[in-house]
Amino acid sequence: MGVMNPPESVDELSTQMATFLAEAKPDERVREAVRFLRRPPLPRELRWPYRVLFAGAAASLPQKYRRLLGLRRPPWPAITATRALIAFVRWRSGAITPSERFARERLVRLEDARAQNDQAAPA
Amino acid sequence: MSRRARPDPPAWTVAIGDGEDEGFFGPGSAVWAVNGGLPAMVAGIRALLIQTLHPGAMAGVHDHSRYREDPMGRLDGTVRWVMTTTFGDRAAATAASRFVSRVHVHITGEYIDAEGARRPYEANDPVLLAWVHDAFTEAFLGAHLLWGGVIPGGADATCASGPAPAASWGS
Repeated sequence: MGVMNPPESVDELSTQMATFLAEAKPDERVREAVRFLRRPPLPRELRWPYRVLFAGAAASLPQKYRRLLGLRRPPWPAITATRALIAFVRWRSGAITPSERFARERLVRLEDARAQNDQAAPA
Repeated sequence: MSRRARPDPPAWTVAIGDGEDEGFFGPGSAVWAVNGGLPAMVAGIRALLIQTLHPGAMAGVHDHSRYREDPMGRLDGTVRWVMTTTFGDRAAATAASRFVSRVHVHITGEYIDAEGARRPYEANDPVLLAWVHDAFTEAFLGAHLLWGGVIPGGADATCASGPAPAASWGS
């Protein structure tokens, strides 16, 4: 993707982010995007879980980002509520995403093929 | 307790099961641990919030993105890229990044920077790509540290996995 000098440590990442933030421009476009992210069009049953996740995301942000985005830290324990929601969803739907599941099946298939090749070739 | 029938996964997800190698990261990697977890949902929201702050990146979204008209479609595009580059084999991950680079070619225009100066932007600008990459990494790391489990190799490993695939994505 042509990304130049990606950071190789958390410290490097923090330094790069601080440099970028010097150019931050919290204008009406940002406000419009934040309004959208706060209340995207979702099926009704997903709206309250999303509100929890959005509040968790906002609460997890360092204060300087929240200030630039015009977001307030929620006055309720959003990080804990998010943790509970994540645990609930994990319990209901299983701990692995479909993409990871398919990737692991691919690795098993490749390993089986390798093992068969090893057997076919005499030691 | 009954389970609601789950919709079949999309074709691009099933295609992750095809392929000839373990991809750029593999099981046990920091990137698999961070992107495969449910905290990725929250991390995605956090990443998007941060990314709006750079006026060059925001201009590309404002001028060209269909996020207002088709938010779910736009979201699916990003989810697909994240999952394919993380879990797909090397060929699939490289193809996914090339696809995004081709889409980015058309995302150009002008914006006013924080100093009030008019500047051109293009989505494939290495500086803007670095911003998006860094915001994404920062968000996913932060979310995983709060809500996810232990990261194999520690937090630095999530960053350190970046250079090899990031360099190979350069095109």
